[in-house]
Amino acid sequence: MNLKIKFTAGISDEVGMRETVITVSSNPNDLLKCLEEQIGFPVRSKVGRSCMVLVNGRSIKKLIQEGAAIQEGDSIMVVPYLSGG
Amino acid sequence: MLKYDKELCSGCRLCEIICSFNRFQIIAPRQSFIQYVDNWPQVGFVDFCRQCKGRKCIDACPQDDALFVNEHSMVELNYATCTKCLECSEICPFGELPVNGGYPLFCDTCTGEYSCVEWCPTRALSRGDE
Amino acid sequence: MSEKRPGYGGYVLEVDLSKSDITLQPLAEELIKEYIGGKGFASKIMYDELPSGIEPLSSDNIILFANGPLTGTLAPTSARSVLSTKSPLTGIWLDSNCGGSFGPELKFAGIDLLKIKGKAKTPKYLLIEDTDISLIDAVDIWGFDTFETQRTLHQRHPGAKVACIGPSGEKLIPIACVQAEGRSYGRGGGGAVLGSKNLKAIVVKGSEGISVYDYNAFIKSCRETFGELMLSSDSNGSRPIYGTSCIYSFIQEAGVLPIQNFKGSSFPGMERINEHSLLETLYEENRSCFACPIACSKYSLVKGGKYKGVIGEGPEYENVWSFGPQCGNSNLGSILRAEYLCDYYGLDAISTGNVIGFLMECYEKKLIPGNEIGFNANFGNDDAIIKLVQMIGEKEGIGELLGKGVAQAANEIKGGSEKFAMHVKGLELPAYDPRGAVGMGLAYATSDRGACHLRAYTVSSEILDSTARLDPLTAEYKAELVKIEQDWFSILDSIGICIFANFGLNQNQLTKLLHTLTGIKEFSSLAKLLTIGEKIYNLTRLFNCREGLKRDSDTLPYRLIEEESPHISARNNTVPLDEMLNEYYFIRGWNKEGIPTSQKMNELGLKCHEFEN
Repeated sequence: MNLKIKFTAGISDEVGMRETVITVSSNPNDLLKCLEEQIGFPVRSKVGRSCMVLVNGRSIKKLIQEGAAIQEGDSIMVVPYLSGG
Repeated sequence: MLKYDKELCSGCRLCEIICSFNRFQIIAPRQSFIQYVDNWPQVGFVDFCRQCKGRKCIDACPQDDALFVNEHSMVELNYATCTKCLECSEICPFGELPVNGGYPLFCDTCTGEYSCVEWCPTRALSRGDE
Repeated sequence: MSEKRPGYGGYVLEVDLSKSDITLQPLAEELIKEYIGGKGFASKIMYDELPSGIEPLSSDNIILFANGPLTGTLAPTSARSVLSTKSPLTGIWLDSNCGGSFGPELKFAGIDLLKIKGKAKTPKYLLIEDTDISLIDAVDIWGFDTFETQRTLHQRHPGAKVACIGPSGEKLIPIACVQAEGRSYGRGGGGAVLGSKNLKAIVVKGSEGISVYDYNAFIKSCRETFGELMLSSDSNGSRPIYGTSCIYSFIQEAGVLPIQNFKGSSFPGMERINEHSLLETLYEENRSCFACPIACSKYSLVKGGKYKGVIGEGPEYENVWSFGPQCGNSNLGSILRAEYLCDYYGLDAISTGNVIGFLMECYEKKLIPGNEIGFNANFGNDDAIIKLVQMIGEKEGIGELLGKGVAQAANEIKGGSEKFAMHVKGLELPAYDPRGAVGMGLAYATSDRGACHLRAYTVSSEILDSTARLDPLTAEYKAELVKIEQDWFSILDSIGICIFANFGLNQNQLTKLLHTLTGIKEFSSLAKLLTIGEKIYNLTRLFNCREGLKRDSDTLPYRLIEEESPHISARNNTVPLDEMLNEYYFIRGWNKEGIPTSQKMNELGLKCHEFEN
């Protein structure tokens, strides 16, 4: 399926865009790989360290842990690993 | 000489901090040879001697030997004969000179070490042409 | 000046305004070793010297300003100092932190701790020029806004730094703050306490130096921490460019951004507000506090539209929220204008925006007769927001009630509004809805000054943490997380650096900075520092218990416990407070009423006779 991916703050500067559309399967384990291949951003080495991928506002690691599937219309956002404001 | 790009400056005063620390091993920004002047809410600028070739300060100095060019080709103050009139600061085309205890302070780039350039996080300060 | 302890100014300045008495005492060794500085000093002094039951706006209240050992040094972000007093808003413990350059200047004048007691007969300001200290007549500047005050005092005393109150502090408005060189000791009404003492400002010029224990080791430690900060994903790349609102999109996405007084899920134009639009339309320059490479602060300018020409420092994330989503408002220009006015009057922008959002809900529910306000105060009405800030600042009309804080406003408005007065212990909630990250609910409920996100900041751990042990919506492990953070943040608030440096560095690096600066053996051990942090947090707790606080004050607003979150990501969650609180008291070594046990006090070396059982 096609999914819109949003990038925020410093991540949007790194990838050079605020949002894009990528093609993914329903398997969340594949999502990171698809992101990396289709936009050329080394997300798998950065996730959990300098960035995080949120699926409907929850960490993608949670999704994988819960064994849940990616669905049509899910909101995906790649955010910098930030604190406090 | 030391170069300054005001557009890059964020007013952090690390230049002030390291200047006094490097010279005197204490942190005493008011004794530094570079001084930040704020312009809230906008960012301000720093005052320091550019060691320019114009040297209007030497011309303006009413004393014979208070200001001179030293062996490193830099303007230096003779504290013994300076009368603290600050004519040098008044005439300086770059702004005012930092002052401590009434004496004008002339940056000497830490004789080529440029400590403040090393510590400036925004690269507003840089090494100029020698 | 005598031989100074490395890292410290060396002196305690005590000012009795009633007697016009000014004394300078050396800083005691035991105080340093046991309490480090900043919040640590404040906790000890306030517990020992301010008995319970004191009226916060009476001349019996004490107000302190305390620096940390790292304040005013080469350590990154070493700008910070602490104000402490009994809050006129909450009636309990207050410590409020400020960046900028005021604290460092106090340190250069040799002062680690400034204690202010009594009340001046007529308005004064305190002038400190190294050891030359005096009280100067301030009748001619009484009534000035904070900008005019700072401008005037800067002109009279070139090179000095100023901390001052505006008309709101003078009028004893409980949410009034203290402004200092563009930054604020924001929360809890410190401005009203200074106003009640007739103290308009503190003006300081310091030319002394701070010495260092081990020059080479300290400079090396500073180099390492600066380098680390420049590389960190937190302080590099996002915060310097997008400011404190760099987290805005992620907080909103996670369902943690409160909308329309914590009840809405959206508001008109909400897509117009985020860190990108702030950068594109408002930010002009990056501003740093003293010794800071992050430069999160911004000079902003509104370039078009209704608010064209408005300038200010900010807006900060908290103020983008408090005048934006909290009020259902998407006009960025009005948000900057509102923040400017809070600086102008000297008001806490979090409390001000929170209470305005509350009023808007009351207005919507017709709990306030229309003519009592005098104009339409619906959510989203930016004109109303600006007018209300002015009315609060001037103590006019309904602004007088709102300035007393949301708890008091609900008490008077009634009609069930108590259920959606978003405060804990009288301090208004900031920009995080804990139904989306329940650890923040425990943090708010157990914060020593009321609802605060800066005693324990669990949001990132709960939502971004990749170890998957924590779930933002459940109670597991939250008690442990909150306790650990509160203890460590007590240290941060005692040493004088910024919380943003903490997010980019590890605890060992900060310990090394502290130890190489001071050479104090006790400060070389992280474990020892953590026990000092625990001790400080227990002492502020005991201060509150002595004022009568118990478990029934460790609460959350009805809305967060009983009404489900309106945000999709938060999955209809409410905050499981009781469960977390039980575990928290147990981990803390407090009894069922939330009072530290004798055993815990002994363990920490606290001698608080009132609580021995």
